[in-house]
Amino acid sequence: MDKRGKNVLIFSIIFLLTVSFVSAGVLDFIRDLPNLITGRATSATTSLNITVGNAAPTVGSVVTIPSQSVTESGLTAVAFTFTASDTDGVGNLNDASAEASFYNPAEELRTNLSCNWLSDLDTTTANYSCTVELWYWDGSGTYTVHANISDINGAKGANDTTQFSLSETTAMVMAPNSLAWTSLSLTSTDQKSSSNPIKVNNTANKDITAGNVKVTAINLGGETTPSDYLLVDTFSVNTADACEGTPMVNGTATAVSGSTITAGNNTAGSGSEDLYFCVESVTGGISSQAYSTTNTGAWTVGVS
Amino acid sequence: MLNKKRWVLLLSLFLVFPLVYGFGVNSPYWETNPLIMYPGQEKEIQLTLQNMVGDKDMTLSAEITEGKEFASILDAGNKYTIPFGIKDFPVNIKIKIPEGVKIGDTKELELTFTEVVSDSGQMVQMSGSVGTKIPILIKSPEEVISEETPEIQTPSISLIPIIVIVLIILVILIIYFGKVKKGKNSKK
Repeated sequence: MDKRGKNVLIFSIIFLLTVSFVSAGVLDFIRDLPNLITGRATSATTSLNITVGNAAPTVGSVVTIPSQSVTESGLTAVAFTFTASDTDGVGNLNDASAEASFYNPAEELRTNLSCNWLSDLDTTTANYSCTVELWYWDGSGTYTVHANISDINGAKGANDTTQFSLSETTAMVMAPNSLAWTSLSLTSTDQKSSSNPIKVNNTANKDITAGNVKVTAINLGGETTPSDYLLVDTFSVNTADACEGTPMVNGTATAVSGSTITAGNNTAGSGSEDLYFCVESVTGGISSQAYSTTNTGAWTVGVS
Repeated sequence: MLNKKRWVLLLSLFLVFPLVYGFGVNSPYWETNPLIMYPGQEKEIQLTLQNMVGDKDMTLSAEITEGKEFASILDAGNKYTIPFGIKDFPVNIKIKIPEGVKIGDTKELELTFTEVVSDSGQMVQMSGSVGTKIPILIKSPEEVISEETPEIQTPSISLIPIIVIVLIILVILIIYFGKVKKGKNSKK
């Protein structure tokens, strides 16, 4: 190589080392050439959104739930399973986030925030079990099952296509189960029972509306002289601690005026009614003796 | 000595707090979910009784308090002993709607279950009762049958042309391959 050739080689190497440029290709270089010559800026600030691919999970199917009924004074556990899928693989599903709830627009939402992973059905689908509890005052009707799960990236999938029916239950608890009067003479008036009040709890999900709390009273028979009767038309029942309530009618279910028992949480003081019994006056012309239901039959407090 | 004290305390508690018992009846039909029947139709339905409160078995007597003219209790004796802890003791009812009932009418069936109690020696012995009301909506036989029969899945109309095209292609292919085979055989 002659001297001129050497100089050209050295100049080329120095040029390449000092003038560094990066170009996506020859065409880009040619396009940027005017900017290089004029000195016009060739870069600008721009924002980039880089999305790393993540498919949200889907809740595929919730098993059919048969018609349910409440348990008097208690809870009804409704167990069911659902499947969840994630195209990124079952490992992408956040098992701990699986949850379910029962929804009825007229009732409180019932939820289980910790459903359990049961098994992986294949590489993308897993099976979960859930138990949601219904309280005894939860109203009858159609409930929608909402099941959802998140993936480990926080994307959520849900299903609310399954519904079930909660039927109507009428139930009651009453205490005490008997009435007594400590002092009752032939001339007594406005004598309230020493057993007052009789507390009637609505222990299921039917609202007991006006006219549907009834007392059936039966004349009391004499224990010594059975032919004498203390007639029940001299007795009354009241929702207040007072006499002058609804008069009883022998052998007839009589609605207690003003009494309603809407379904509710008895422990919280809802869903109950106190009934107060009173002897307004003692039937005239009867003998002085003990009178009771022993020979005539029990009285009934009923709800429907 | 300690045990004796405990027994006395327990006994006192029982005497102070009277034992509480309860029961209930469940119906698959209620005000907003009536039973739908047509005039002349006969049907058997089932109610369930539950005894989940307290600690003892209960005996209940059943009575139709409304609708005796078209309904009857099928179980013998109309008395049911419900063991404690049972939630679904069945009560079977037969309903027969008379022929002359008008379509659009609503009939009501009411059943009352009353606790059978033994006398406690008190002046007035009380028992509890629960009733359930079943509304029956009278519709035409056609409406009732259509509501009772589940829908049969038929292929959608848009699928029919595709099926026809596939069948035509299949027939053409069979004919074509049949001819090719025949041609080969004749060359031999």
